[in-house]
Amino acid sequence: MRQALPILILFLLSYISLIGQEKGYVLIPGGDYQLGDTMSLDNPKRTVHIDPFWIAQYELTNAEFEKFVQATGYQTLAERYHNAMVFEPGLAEFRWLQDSTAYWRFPNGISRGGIVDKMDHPVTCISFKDVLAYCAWADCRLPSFEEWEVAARAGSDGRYFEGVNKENIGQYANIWHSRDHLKADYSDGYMYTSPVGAFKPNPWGLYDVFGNVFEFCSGKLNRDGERYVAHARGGSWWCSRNSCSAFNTVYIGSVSPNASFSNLGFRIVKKAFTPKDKDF
Amino acid sequence: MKKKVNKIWACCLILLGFISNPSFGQEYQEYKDIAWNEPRSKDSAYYAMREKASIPPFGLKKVQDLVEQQSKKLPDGALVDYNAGISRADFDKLSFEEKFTYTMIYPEIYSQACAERMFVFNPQSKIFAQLLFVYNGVFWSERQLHFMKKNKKRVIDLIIDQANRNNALGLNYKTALIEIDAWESIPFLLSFYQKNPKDKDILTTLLQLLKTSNFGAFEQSKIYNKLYGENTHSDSWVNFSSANEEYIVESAQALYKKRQNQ
Repeated sequence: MRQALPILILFLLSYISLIGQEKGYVLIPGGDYQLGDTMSLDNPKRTVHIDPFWIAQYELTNAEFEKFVQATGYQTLAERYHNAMVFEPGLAEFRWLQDSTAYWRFPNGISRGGIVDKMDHPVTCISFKDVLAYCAWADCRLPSFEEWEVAARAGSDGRYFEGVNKENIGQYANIWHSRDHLKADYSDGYMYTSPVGAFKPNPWGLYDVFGNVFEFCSGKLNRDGERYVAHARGGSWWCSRNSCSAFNTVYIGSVSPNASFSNLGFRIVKKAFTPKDKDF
Repeated sequence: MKKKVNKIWACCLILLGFISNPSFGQEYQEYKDIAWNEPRSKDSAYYAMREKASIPPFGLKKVQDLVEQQSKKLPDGALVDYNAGISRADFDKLSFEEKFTYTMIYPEIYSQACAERMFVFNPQSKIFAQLLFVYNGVFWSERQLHFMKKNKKRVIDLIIDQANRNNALGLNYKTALIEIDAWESIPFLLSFYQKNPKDKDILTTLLQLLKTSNFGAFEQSKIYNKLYGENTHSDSWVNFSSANEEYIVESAQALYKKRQNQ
């Protein structure tokens, strides 16, 4: 029995080493979590079992996406098919413009500026299919609907993580504060994206889970039927209290997997890990 | 014996460690319970009616074939679902009625990642500020909007004709009327509502036309404040009441007269 003690200690040490933070990632503990909302058809209130996983603290940046492009020569759908959707102030609610010049280096089209001085902003104007290509290259994956929600709630069972409500969410999220989108809104310092981590994190150390960019997740909703639909969560810089208020842990957005918008980005999850797997 | 016990211990710990490792069973998801306010069937039926689109019959097969051919031409990966607009030449060759059919059933551009709205109990006794999103993830392109605006009168006439024939005004028709600022359709909407009082989204359509027109008296009203005021959002609603209904009807009539005289 005494001979088993070192094995037990070794096991406990290796397990404890997994609990905590790894540079750039947060370990989300496994367990049973209550998710959803009783009034959501897409996301009903329920208890879900989640295995532990590492999720990136920040949304994936332009700098990180550039490494992928430089290594592979990958061309996004927006570059190949000139089908990106962009925003400029003056549009009616929920309206976007087609801009054949837009792609991730010019997420709102060439005339509205590029990302040269925004390499620490989340990459946008990429489609769900581009994201899958990135994940294949980087050997990572997207969070599932449930994983994203557990990480975003950070132990809270409400619509927001602890300390946040609809009134003070501006301290935690880059969102749109004006009544409509007819004029530019720089009231929090940013009209479009902000650098990742510019706002307060959630209690588990994740930044920008609300606002900045909608984050693609993996999963399928009942209402998708046979259609191939991509989903994204957390709201974006475009979202306002008076429009969709999508900056919460309940809503699940839908978009074509071929669509590239300047408010759509992603956050990665490590595919698998071992105690030695420290450098992703 | 001791050695055997130790081996068993060691095996148990290794197994426990393996199970504790997140790479084990990563894809495993299980809902242990579902705590969900099951929508009542009549509420669900009303939502189904709210989101139902109308399908115009004009050249329907021809339009569907055109879109299918277009989709086949496109490289996989570029255009899987909607977003496959037919070529300009093909579009121009369509008759007015066929263009209408095409527009109503094949919106050409993407719309952003908005969430389906939250469920509201007893929706049939509410007047909503906004209609539901007409298409999931797609919307009319500039070309399609231009076509509808340029042919406003004919589009209104077609919608009226189809609604009367089928005794239903689909979500796409209502949305089209709002998009083209079809104040001319107000008498039709009022009479159609009288025949179909269960469809409260007709009142929402009238509200949207009032809002688009920046109708002064309406903008000062309590109902405007509750539906479109400072603290409202796209899910806002007011309870249906005779007073609210009467106010919307009278405001719409006043707007119609005003714009007719302009």
